[in-house]
Amino acid sequence: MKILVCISIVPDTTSKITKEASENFLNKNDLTYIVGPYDDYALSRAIEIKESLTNVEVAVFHVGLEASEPLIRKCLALGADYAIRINGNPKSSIQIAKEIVDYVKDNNFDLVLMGKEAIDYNSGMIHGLVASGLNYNHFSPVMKLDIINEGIELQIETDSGKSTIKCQFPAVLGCQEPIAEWKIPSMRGIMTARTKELKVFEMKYIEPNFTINQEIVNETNRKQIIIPKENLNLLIQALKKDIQLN
Amino acid sequence: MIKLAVILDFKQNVLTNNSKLLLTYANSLVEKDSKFQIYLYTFQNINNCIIPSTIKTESIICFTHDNNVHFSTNESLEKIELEINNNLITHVFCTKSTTNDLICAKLAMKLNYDLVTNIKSLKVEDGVLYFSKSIFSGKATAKLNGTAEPCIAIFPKGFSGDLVLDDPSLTYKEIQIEKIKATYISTSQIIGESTIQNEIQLTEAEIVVGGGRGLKGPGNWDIVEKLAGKLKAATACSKPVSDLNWRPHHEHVGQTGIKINPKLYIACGISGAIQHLAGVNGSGTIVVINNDPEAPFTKHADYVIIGDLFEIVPELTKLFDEV
Repeated sequence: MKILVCISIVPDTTSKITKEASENFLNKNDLTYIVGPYDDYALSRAIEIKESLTNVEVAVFHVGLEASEPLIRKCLALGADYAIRINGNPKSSIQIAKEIVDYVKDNNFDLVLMGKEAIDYNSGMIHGLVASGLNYNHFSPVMKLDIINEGIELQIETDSGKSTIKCQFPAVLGCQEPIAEWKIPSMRGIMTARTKELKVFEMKYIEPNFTINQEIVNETNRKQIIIPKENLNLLIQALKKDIQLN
Repeated sequence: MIKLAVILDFKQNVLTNNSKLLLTYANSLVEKDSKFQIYLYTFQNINNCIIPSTIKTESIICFTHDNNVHFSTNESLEKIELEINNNLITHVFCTKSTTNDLICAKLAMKLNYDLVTNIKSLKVEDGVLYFSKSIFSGKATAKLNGTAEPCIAIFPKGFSGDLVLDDPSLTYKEIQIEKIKATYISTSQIIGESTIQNEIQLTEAEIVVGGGRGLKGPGNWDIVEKLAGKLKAATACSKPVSDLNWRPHHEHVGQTGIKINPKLYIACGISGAIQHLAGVNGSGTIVVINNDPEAPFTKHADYVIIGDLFEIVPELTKLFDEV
């Protein structure tokens, strides 16, 4: 079985976003980057599957610049077999999706896993776009994934609750917790990752559909009014004024 | 002529507030610019359809499917794709939901249309659409270039939220429903379903009451639930709380959980880590109850009550009783 895990590389969840003084865009240079938290769940589950079954191959896929390579190596240290980096600076979900579709078409994977969304531009659309381009089964957000005789069994979140689904290969899944526990690479993993293969190809889909002209940091100016605990009625009165309490 | 499809969501045959807002917004485009024409669709199996009378459209197409098959299978999309192609629809607007997200992503790829999500605002000039969207989990906003190209746009809750829905002068009409059923062979099958009963969904809630580690244990949640019950609010929790299995994962609000945008969010015993703030910064008014005056959340709240939540929360519940 072949599993492709697509990862995003995004600012750390604790990042404070600031704006470049002279530019129209956010300052992305001083931030610490991590593998997208949802993608990390997907990768962890893929590695758990690899460890519990025989003949499972896990590849990591990323569209981005060379600066991403140390984090791709970290994924290899966790237990992925090899990695693919498409060299470029994508601007839209559709561009990234098309790169994934092309690679999967040429290399046949049974499962394509990724996080349910990337936490930078939050589109949450790439898995759907990829499934559509490949005509694969598609589910998101997936909270539980098990390999069964003739395919996979999943638990997904729906608009009204949860569903358990049986599905044949191949499939594209957008993952979220609690699908697996995040993993920490072992020393041995880090050593072997150095020699694992990291293939680099050039990005083909250069023209984005939408482009961002300007980025603005949202200032949340909250009132920060202290209500004394002895006089909670003040809160009720204030809320009545602020919002229509029915 | 710009043909605009609006995908509507219903809950037990009633148009959701989010859909009503989006439809009203789409209709305002038609009124300003006669180039626009609206088509209505839904993916819910409805038996009647009541919409504001101001909308000129007289019918809706309802796409249905077999019960044990998940909607997002590629086969069911063919019918929708055909409809869009036959009517020469260039723009599709819908509200954010799990189902809509899945369908829109797939349609965009099949139709080769642009896709824009997390929309904060939309300005239309001469048929050119200027979107701005929320990025970095609401920490920032991006303005996009204007485009007249075909596109699919997904609007989150809270978009054009200043429209008044409970205006008593608003009249409604019933429109005709045409059903299109997709029949297909699928390689996936739903084998079990559980619905969240009697609870108000977080993403739809007007008021949310959240609890954090300050509650000290899952057995203490009754005070949060009582306050939520009083306010007809949904309950939420912080990530540590769902990690400890004190509360179910579907209540986890934050950067890696659900993002909420209610009119009022009351956070009890939540310190306000930056990851939690990312999930709640879309809230209208934020009330924080915490015993630590230095908790980061106090800097990101409209009203702060410092003290023991085990005293304050029940007291508040009592006071809301009297309102």
